[in-house]
Amino acid sequence: MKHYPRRDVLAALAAVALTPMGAMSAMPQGSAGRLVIVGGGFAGATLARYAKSLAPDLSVTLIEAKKSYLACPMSNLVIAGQRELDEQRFGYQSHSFAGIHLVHGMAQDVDAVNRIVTLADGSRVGYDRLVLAPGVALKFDALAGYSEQGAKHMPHAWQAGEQTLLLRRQLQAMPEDGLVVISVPPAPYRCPPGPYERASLMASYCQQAKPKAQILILDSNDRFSKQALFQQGWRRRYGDRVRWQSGSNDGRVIRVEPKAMQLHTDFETYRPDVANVIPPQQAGLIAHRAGVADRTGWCPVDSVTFESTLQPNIHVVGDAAIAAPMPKSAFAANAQAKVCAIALVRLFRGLMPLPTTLANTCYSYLAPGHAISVSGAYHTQGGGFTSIAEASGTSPLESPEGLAAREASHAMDWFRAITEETFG
Amino acid sequence: MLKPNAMVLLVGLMASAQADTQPDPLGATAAMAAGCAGCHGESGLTVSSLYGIDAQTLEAQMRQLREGDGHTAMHRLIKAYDDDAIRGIAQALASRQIAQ
Repeated sequence: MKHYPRRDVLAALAAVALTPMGAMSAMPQGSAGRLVIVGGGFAGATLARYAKSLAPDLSVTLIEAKKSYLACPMSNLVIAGQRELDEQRFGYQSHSFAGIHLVHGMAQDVDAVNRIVTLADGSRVGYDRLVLAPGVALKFDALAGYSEQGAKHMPHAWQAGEQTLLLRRQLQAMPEDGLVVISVPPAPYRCPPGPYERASLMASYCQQAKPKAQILILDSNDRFSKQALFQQGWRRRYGDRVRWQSGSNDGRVIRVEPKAMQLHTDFETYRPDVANVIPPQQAGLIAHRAGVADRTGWCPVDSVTFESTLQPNIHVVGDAAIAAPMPKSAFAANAQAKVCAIALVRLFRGLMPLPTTLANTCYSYLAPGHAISVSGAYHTQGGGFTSIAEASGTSPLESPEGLAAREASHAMDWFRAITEETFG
Repeated sequence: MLKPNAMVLLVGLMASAQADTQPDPLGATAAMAAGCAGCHGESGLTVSSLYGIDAQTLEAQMRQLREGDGHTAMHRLIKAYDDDAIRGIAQALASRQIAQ
């Protein structure tokens, strides 16, 4: 993690000391304030480390239920048998070393008036400012017939872990001429290009191991991220092995029967060998308990501070936040966390937060060793997120020799860099 | 001996004198530069490392990238930043490396 020159720390401390009244006067002695973060994924774990490094005098608490984190980026490679799940696992030791208070517990409720987070075991954590980074909750009940139990037959594999391995086992066990169906929920959902990368890597696996197998994407939507690049890649690499059916072409799955392995659209019934059902999503449940999610199920925020527009002193970063046109990606979560951390430290110091420019890049594998990318940059002036057209776009359709291999190597570099920054 | 208040004032003055040469870690360009580590890493272990490069070289490289016609993600993203932003980002990145 970064270390700032001693003189900057002194300057910061001097700034605090010079603040005559207001927020600082109520703080416990020796602390510039209490920052509490719920959720230790790419957003929350980054934010905790970054805020602590910027302001060592800040009391920073990270509340996370799990002892280790299983990352979703690269987990499609695990499904395709190209990577092991343990390579996706990260711990929180560096957070403890950095002086962050680590609380392994499930945050259950937020009292926004008295600024208290209550955990499942009844313990309470007070805050001056709270950051919620709960990621997504899967809305099992939003798809008729689907449930957590049903996911044991029709895995979603949309939160990395046992589900990832289950889908891999099912893929490996299916007949040589098997059919895989991937059901894609209505946008927005976590990782917009994820289902299509998954189809690509499954096709790559099948090309070796199941030469007659087919992959059918039943999509609730009519278009998708990097669509032209994916479709070109499928045609060139996999012929008609990968097929995509749009929402307006009866692609939307409206009901499933997990035990009978049946999926229903308006007009058709499918009986695949493997059904990867990605359910509709919303912000993690603590966001709803805290009153920061709106009717869409996601959390509206001010783009400069990521403070909720519904509850003061509660900030939301990562997948749970409404930051469109920024996608719900690990890259975006990590970038938002750093901008939010700077804004939070400024607020704790009594300084006005400043607008900035945020960036995102999502790499997707068309096959192991071959990747494509989509990038975007966003201004945050005025409280919203405005896409910068000239900085946005994808890899070219007619790409120069070797670009896909370079982008695959960039993707791996990115994963190493972002996980190091997030988890140490 | 200085009174406590005068001490604080002195530290504040020293800090502000140094602020001219040292980028503000809470400033607007620091927030832009913070984005870089998401890909380029903090420790210099990744291939596309920005580690140990001085501000002038970083600035020149970023401007060259922006005018170039390559096809990587960075060739696109760099177009979001004007000359002032690029200079600020370069200074912020270089100062962080010195601090390490």
